[in-house]
Amino acid sequence: MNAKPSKPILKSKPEPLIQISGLTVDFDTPTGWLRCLHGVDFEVYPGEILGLVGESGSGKSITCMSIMKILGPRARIRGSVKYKKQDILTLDENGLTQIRGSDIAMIFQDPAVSLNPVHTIGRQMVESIIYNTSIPTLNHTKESSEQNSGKVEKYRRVTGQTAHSEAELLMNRVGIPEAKQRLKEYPHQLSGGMNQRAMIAMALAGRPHLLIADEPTTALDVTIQAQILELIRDLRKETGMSIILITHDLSVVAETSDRVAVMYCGRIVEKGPVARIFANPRHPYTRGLLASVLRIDRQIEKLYSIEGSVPAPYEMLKGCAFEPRCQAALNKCKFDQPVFKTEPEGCGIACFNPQSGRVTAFEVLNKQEDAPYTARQKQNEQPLLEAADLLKYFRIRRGSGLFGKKKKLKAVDSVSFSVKRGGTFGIVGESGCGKSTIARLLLNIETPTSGAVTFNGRKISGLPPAEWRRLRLHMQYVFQDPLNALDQRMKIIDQVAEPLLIHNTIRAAMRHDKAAELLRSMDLKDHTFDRYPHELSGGQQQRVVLARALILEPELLVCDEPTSALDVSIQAQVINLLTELRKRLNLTMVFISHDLSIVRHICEQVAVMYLGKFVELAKSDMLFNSAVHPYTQALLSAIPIPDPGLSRKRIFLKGDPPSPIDLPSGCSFHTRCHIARQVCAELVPELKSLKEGHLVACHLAHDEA
Amino acid sequence: MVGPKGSGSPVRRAIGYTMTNKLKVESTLTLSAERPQNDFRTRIRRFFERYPPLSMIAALWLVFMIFVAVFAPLISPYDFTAIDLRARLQAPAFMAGGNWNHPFGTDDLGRDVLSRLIFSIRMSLLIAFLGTIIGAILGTSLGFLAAHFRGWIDDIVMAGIDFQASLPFFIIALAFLAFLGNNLVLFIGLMGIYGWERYARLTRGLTLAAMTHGYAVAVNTLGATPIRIYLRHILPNISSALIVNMTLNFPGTIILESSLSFLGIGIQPPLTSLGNMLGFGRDYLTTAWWITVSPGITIFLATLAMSILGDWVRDRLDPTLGL
Amino acid sequence: MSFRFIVRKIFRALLTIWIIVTFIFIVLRISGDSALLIYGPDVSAKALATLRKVWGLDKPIWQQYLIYVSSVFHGNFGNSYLDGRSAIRVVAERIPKTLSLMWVTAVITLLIGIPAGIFSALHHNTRRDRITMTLAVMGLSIPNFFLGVLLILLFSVSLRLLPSAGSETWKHYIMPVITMSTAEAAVLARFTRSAMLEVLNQPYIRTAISRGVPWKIVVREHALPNAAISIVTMVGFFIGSLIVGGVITENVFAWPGVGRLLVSSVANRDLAVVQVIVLLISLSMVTANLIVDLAYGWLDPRVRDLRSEEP
Repeated sequence: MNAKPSKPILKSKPEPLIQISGLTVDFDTPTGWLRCLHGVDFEVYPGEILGLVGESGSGKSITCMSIMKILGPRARIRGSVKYKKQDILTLDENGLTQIRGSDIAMIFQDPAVSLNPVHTIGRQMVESIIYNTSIPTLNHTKESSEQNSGKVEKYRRVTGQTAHSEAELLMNRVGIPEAKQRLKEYPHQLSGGMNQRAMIAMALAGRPHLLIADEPTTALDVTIQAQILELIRDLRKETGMSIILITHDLSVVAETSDRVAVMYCGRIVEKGPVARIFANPRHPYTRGLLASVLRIDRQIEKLYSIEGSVPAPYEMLKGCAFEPRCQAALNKCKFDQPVFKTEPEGCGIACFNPQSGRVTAFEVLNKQEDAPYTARQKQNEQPLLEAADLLKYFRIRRGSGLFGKKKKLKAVDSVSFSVKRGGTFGIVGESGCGKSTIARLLLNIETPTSGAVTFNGRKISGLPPAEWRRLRLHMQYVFQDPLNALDQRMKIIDQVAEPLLIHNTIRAAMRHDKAAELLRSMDLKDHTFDRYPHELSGGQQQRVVLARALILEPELLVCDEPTSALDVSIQAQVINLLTELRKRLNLTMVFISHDLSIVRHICEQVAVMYLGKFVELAKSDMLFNSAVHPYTQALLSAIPIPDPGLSRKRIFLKGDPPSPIDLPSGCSFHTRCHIARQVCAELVPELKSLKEGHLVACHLAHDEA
Repeated sequence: MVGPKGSGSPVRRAIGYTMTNKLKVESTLTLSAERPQNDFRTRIRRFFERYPPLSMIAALWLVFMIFVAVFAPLISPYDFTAIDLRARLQAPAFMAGGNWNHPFGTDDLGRDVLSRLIFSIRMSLLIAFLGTIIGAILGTSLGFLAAHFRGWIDDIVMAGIDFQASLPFFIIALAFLAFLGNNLVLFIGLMGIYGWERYARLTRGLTLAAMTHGYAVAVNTLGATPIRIYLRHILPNISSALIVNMTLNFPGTIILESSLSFLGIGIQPPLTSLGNMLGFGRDYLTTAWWITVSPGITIFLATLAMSILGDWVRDRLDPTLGL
Repeated sequence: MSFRFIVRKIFRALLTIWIIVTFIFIVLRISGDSALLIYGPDVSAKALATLRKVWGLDKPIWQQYLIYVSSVFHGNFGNSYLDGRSAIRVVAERIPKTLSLMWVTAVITLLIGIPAGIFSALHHNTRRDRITMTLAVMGLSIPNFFLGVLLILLFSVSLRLLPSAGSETWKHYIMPVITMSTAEAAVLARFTRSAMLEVLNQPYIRTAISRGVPWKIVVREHALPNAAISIVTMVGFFIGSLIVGGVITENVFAWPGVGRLLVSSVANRDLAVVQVIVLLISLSMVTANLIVDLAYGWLDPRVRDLRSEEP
């Protein structure tokens, strides 16, 4: 086997590393053959990162699993996957075993469950090294990389000892500190980010020529995502391997990939160099997708959204799968399948009516003032919702059992805020920071350890259950996962009408009419009313959840990550609906999300949370344009932006967030802070006003001011 | 060499959505030229995968047994206690010395084996049904109570579950019958206690999950009362798991009852049950094997049919439950 | 494994034993005059009165309870009224016979059940799988008392090859062992199969395959150790059903073990003996479950340093 090139190959050398053509996958289901891929063609050149983008159900994961042939016995794969002049699909199990790991390696979405829980990281690492028989001499310096290139590698069985020291080197390479110790640990003892690094290290063990990364950062926090993406970019530069990066996130593609292929319903609809696709998308689907992505660096009045939802594989019609949602559809799109046309420079498109130019219709740049907001503010200074020194401790048994010490987990630590009537308050933070707990405290799903919530001037914490049931008329909750929040055994219309029944606000005969009217106003068709939740798409489900929450016409709506379980194109629909409803019904909203772009779009006031505490609280514009707290700054810089040309200064946070059980002394952020001083480790900073309406909890910010 | 089974969840997730939908794939898909063909054999295979013949036969057999149990007095040729000493130990009709007056022969007192069999089926099924239903209601209610009140009520229910799991129920039943003596009501009660802990554990676990993160929280924030949440929302949602558990529990109850009766400490004469018939017939094994073999085969077929059907119901209702 | 983990498990086991002792006490009290029950109806009224005094039956209930618990700890359960000797001795001399039958059955069950389950899982959805599983369903559906009777009918009555009662030679073992292990092996095979299938569907198996690990090694290194964890949790249940199967089988084949003693004592209401046997069984079950818990912790690193989270 040849050594791989150390530098990315120039575009003028069009000899693909892997060529996939006519890839078609059918699944044998009880109801018949189900086609999930309809002839996919693409190629990956040596040393490039190809972004494979698509929403759920687009077949992007299935594509890559068929390259590795790990789809299981129920799948029938057709077409060809040419790798080094041989067709992988024709190989037998032995041949595949040789290719897997040593030529093509793969990393998966959820590192916590993708590693064997009963073996140590080291054991699994050594296994990868041994079965991918080469000695994985990773190039640690530029020098050695140049020396190695051109030489033919020797392949031989490695001993356990060599494998072990190799494992340590690999761990160091992917940035795992204290590698020796980590090798002895089990996957559950490491954080998600560390596990993903370990999985990457295992994938590197065989010095693969192609790395397939299936949503490698989807399960991770945004600051960790930034670290992992940086690592992947570095590794490509160093080893010259090609990477297929599967993702639903266009921004991730913009920041990492050289070329991009967009998939929809088991087909590739458009491909080309990243810069060109982002600057001039031609397929209506690509255009819609790009336009519906929220950007942290822009303010937009209303999001572009693609109507409808992705059809399920069994719903495929004769013509173009995107035709029902397409604004540029021609008559023949209904009946004929557009063929994928390959064009020079690795471009290609499958569309009868390609468009050009960016969709910018809804973009409003430099939006300074939100007029209605200020107007309302003057009218009503009285806060609707107030939280004062909200505190929630969970008792955690550490060690085990009877004699184990009970430790306190400070989920929410002295949080205070108020929301004016008609205002929108956003809380952002990474997973485990306590933002969802705040939502649960506000709605009495959990009771606060101390502190008080005041609603409409009335203290509502500690009210008896019957009082609370009455209060629900005025405050409602929208969940993250709509399928989970709906009763699977109840018809849609009954679920939406149920609050009316519970509170007995209107006559029985009217309930269904009112529910139907509300559902119709949310663009749900009549025929869905008698369906059950699992028969609807994610976006429809979330609209049902919204309808159920709004049918009582509450004053306050608490939304806990209402869009994070949804696809990009659906997310835009729900966000638009939320903003519209808020204005129409004069709702007061508490909006909780890990996604700063959404919070920026929806909220007037934003609090950034880290390990149970607010670290910065300000008006939205103020926060996003001039963040003061180093954590906020890092968070903002970690968010990928869907603009491949953009270059900006990035702040990479060190390591993982500490465990909320053993909080660091002083400022709990000082262990990861890039500007931390002595004082940060000693004193807990208070959340103090920096200037009018801008509160920060950082020693240094106040010192500077 | 076996192909890898690692296709795992993403694929399942991708296509699992469609499994529940019975839409016709056939007519809507295009590109039929290169598509795998649904030939006759494939269709037959798929039909039998969805409705395995064995499960269908099992269902028919159970229906037949229930019919026999319900209409026992109408079907049985004799009174099951009628003694006819002139016709003692008569062989079944198909053997030498047998005749069609007693198709399955007679026992040591000249009682008709077929009639006794029919009434035994009635008794055994009745006990198994009552036992299963009592167990399900008891276990589910305790599970709800434990999940709702938490605290010491939860501790007591959990201790009960642990206790029951730490001793085979057969031994508990024996101890009960030894200490308290035997009567039919106590016996049926005991059959009800058998397996309650599995319903309780299931209900408690699923309820807690729903009450902390699932749909029950949502309904709670709408302002619904606990009764409404439990009966209108949680119960319908966990019903398939409960039904699966019932179908798996049912054959166990039949075997438990017949084992105790076989040992002479279950159903007492003059009542008869399948185990009881088998136990008394054992003494005549060398001379009149039919007295033992006919109830034995009946028990075997009943539990077999129920197990096969239970597996099928589980696969259809809740494939994630496992064994 | 942490010291705390072990201590906690032992404490739990002791708690269960205490619950069982209390349970027996309560059932004994509600069943009637326990002096009469323990000593039987053949004792004189005077003897009964002295016994009541000795046992403290004239004292308040909580004192009776303390007396009962302390006598249990001293191994004082009274005498068997059928035999006249101390109940504990009557039971003890039956134990070896029962154990000898049980371990032979256990070994054979494990040797058949686990490989059959693994075989079936690895051939999932093929004809081999379906045949194995059909056999397993049949095996667990046939009640062991009926299987025993059938075997006697075939090998003792018709063929006259094997003895139908007793425990003297190796020939006596054949039919009881077949009777007991059929259902046990069937249950074990089904459980092993579903545990294996569950594991084979886990993402880490797919990861291992994609890392280029040969299928055989994937099964040996990744699937089996994980499946073993769930199979180990079955051991407690397995021993329980061995005990139940033993009680019935011993009665079918007139095997002179504890099970036969239990049934005859129940039938004759020899409560002292029943008490001892129930306690003996619970003790062995609790010990088995304790060992299972510890083995589970040892096998599964996630349990080993478990931090139970209770909001």
